Amino acid sequence: MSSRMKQWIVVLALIILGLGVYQLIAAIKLTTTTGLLQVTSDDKKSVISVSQANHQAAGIGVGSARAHLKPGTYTVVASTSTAQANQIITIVKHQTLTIDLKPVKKASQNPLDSTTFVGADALVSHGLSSGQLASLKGLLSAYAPKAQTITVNGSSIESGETDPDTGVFKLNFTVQIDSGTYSATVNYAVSNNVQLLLYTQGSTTPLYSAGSAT
Amino acid sequence: MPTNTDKKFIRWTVLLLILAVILFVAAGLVTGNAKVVNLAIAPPLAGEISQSIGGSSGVTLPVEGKDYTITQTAYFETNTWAVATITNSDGSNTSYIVLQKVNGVFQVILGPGTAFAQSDNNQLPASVQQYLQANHVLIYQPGSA
Repeated sequence: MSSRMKQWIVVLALIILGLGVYQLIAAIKLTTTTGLLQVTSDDKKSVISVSQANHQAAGIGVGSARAHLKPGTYTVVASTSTAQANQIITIVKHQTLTIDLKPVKKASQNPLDSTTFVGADALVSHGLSSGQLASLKGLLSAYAPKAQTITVNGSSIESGETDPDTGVFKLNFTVQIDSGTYSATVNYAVSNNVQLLLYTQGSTTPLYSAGSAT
Repeated sequence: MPTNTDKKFIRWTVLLLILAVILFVAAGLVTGNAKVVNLAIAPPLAGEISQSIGGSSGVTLPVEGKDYTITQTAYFETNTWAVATITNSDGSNTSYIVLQKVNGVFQVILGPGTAFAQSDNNQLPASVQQYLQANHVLIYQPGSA
């Protein structure tokens, strides 16, 4: 073995040893400046996260988690798509805090927003106000509350005849609600209230009529 | 054929590496192999909103300023209620989130959403209801259909 090779091996070994020392010092420093949080959740699929006032949140584990945190007050959340549990905790230096979260079914938070609307904003460029569009979305959601996607075909949008007596405007378009395609008419005037008429394609009799244009 | 000096050198090198491994293992034992969490500074309510929205995969949560932006926050009832307006990353969709301060910490009560049913309206203070109505968020009233 040449002496040059020995030198390189020594240098490499010392670097690795130095990193080990650094890791150990950093670990000791960490445990002396933080507290340890141990979380378990009854729902093993729940995502566990922590947040603090005026700070970002961070996920720390699924089902259970261990995390070193700086001293302070945090909100710990265990959540799935249907259930959630929150707990406010205080982390103290050098101390270990163990908590168990029991997620319970979430209250209905956004019943009209389980649906994704695609292309609906194009109606605004044809004359609908944002408030009227919101009303229209509400009526479409009321017709198909469990729809995953409602797509407005932008190229199908056309203005209908305006009623000279009532001043009600009309837009006709086709809309796809999940796998079904419908013809639709939205009647609107000056307020945010709109009327929605839905037809099966080719039919002149509405299968659904809701709201009123005022 | 390694000489005696070479053998001695190899022995000391191996010992050095074993010591390094021991140090790494010791560091892991000291921290208990727990994750070290440093939360970045963010606008008020960002953490609570990220936890409410949740992540699409694993433990990764949406980040304010990257995945969504809080564009406006209004406080009501002596700062015990708040309505935050957020937009998605490309700014194409605006949603509202209603939060209530419970035990000193804001928690999401309603949303995120662009349209809330009147039945959800009833649990909110009048000032919050008025704000949402003024922004056309509380618009769906089954009785008018």
